[in-house]
Amino acid sequence: MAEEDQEPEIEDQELVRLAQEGDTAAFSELVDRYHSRIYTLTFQMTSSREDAEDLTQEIFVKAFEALPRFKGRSSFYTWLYRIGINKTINYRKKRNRNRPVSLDAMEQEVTSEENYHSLSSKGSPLRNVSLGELQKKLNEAMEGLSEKHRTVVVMHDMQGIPHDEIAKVVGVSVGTVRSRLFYARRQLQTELGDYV
Amino acid sequence: MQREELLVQLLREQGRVPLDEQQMRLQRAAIMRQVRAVQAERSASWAVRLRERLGAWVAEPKYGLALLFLVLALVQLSGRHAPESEQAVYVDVRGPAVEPIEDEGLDAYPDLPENLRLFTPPTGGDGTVMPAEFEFK
Repeated sequence: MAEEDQEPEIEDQELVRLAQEGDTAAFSELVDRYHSRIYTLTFQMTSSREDAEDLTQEIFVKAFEALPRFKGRSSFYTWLYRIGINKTINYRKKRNRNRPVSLDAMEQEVTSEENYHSLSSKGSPLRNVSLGELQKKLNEAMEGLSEKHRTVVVMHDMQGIPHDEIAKVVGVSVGTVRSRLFYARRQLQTELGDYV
Repeated sequence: MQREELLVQLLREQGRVPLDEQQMRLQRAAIMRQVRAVQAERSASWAVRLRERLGAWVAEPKYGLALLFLVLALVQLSGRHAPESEQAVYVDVRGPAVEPIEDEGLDAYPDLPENLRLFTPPTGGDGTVMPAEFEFK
């Protein structure tokens, strides 16, 4: 969301209007604005870099194809996110196999984060657990969630998107989002009972 | 530290995805290549697309048969859902309209007296009316 805080020179609405008229440069600007966020979303949902790259590409192409039908009832970002969530969930359903991210790669990525070190030195049970083991367990626990619960956890807890925005993207009430989040966290805590 | 807070922090850390800027740029370029291909396809003329489609239909007759089946099924369905009155066969029994005969210039029949005898009186013994020209023996 930090990228959105900066005031863009041209509003999304204007870029969307130009892209609807066939201006691919305007659409390219939209791709630049939202590419990293959509990529992050798909990576967090699939735990695979290759899948995330393919899905990100498919999502933007699908968005361009569907752009003439976009009426502007919601923001472009919300609409794009909805396409992203639907495509990723469908992809995961088809995949039929769990392919967790490489533990070596994850360890390298997360140990470089200062936050994790501070987290593991605050007297939490994490200090006695191997990082790789914890990440593997968390990944397995996330895979065990249903698509709708996983989606809410990824959007809220990993991406920091507020409840009302998630509600718009997923097409449910804010109460339902809170309820799904509560249930998903409880399930994750149960799965990670020995660690967290 | 509360367990839930710890879990949320852990998830946030897990969610951090380091992005390779060079890789991201290449991806964006690949996306735009596909987008331009879609745009080019969109602006292709209808005639060209129709010709391409027709070629595909000839090469793959199964699509044509499938469409024919679909059309027949739709016709069948539309007949099933039509009101009963529309299903009846309508036959016009009045026949073709006949033009009235123009009577101008025709001679009118003369009015005959009511007591005019058209047949000769019966000559038989049993009261049978016989035509006037019949000769009774």
